[in-house]
Amino acid sequence: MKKRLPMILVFVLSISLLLINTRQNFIQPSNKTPLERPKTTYSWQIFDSTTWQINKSAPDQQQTYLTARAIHYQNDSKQSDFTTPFSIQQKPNETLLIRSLKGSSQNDQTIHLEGKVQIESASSNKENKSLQTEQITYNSETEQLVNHVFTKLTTPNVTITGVGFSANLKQDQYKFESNVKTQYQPH
Amino acid sequence: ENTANTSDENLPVEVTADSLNAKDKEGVSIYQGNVVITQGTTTIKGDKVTLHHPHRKISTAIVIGKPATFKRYLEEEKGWVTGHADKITYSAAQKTLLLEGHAQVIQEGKNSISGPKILYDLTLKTLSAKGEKQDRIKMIFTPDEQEQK
Repeated sequence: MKKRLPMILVFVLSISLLLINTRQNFIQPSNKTPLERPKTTYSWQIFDSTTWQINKSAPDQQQTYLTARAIHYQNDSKQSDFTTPFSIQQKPNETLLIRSLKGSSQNDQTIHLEGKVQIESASSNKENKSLQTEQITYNSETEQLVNHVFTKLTTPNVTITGVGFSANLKQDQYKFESNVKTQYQPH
Repeated sequence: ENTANTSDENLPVEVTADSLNAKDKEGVSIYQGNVVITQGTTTIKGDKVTLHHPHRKISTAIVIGKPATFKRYLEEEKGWVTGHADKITYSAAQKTLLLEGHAQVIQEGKNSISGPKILYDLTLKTLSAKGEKQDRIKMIFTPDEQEQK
C-alpha cells in the first residue's frame, strides 16, 4: 500500500502549474458528512486522511500536504477515487493549492478532478495565477492539463474565460477552444 | 454611450474571440475568429489578432482581416473616425494605428483618405499617408455646410 500510496501525490509532485496565492489558511474538509462505509470493490481505502510528505534533504523547502474525506484504491486496475481532496504543495519559491469536490486517477498517470475545481499558486518570482473550472484532467506523463468546459484563468491584471482549456505546463502555453473573453486591466 | 473624454488608453482592454493560443513566457497571445478588441470608445475588429504583452502589459496588437476595421469616437468633433485595411497595427507606446493594404480612414462628415499605408496618431488625431508608384494617395474633403451654399 505504501508504494501505491496516493497516486495523487504523483499528480501533486509532478505538477508545476501556472496559478495564484489565496492568502487563506489551511482549510480542513468543511462540514462533517457521515463517514463513508468501506466498499468491497477496492483493495484499500482511507477515510478522513491527512498525508504529509516532507523532503528529508530539504525539509523546509519541499513539503506536500494532502487531506481527503476518502481515498479508495484498486490494485489491479490502478484506479483510485477520492472525495474533497485538498492539497498544498510547498516548493522553494512556489506554493500550489489544489482542491475539488471529487477526483479519480487511472493507471497511476492520469488524474481527473471534478466539482468546484480550484488550482492556485503563489510564486515569489513568477506571476500568481488561479484557475477555476468544474472539471479538469491532468496527465503526469505529458504534463498536459485539459478540459472541455468553461474555465476562468486569473492573473494579477489579466482575466481570461473560455471553453475548452488546455495547457502544456512545461512550455507555459495554454489554449482556449471557444467563447474567449479576456480583460487586460491598465497598469 | 462611453465617449473618449477620459483617454481610452487608460481604460481596460477587452478582447473577445473564438479561440486563444497563449505563450506566457514569450508574452504573446494569438486570438482567432471574430476577434473584437474594445477599449473605451475604440473598437478594432479582425479575423486574427496577435497581441504582444510582455509582463502582461499590451505593447502591440497586429490585426489581420478582410478587412480589419477600427472605429473611435472623437469627443471634440462629436463624431467618429473609422478605418479599414488588410492589416492594422496598434502601438501602445506611440499611441498610433498603422493601416496597411487597401487602407482608408474616414473622419465623419469631414474627409477621407485612402492609400497603401496610413498612420493615424490617436493622441494628435493626425493622419499621414504614404503612396507608391501604382498606388497613390487619394484625399476627399467634404466642404462645410456654409461653403456649400
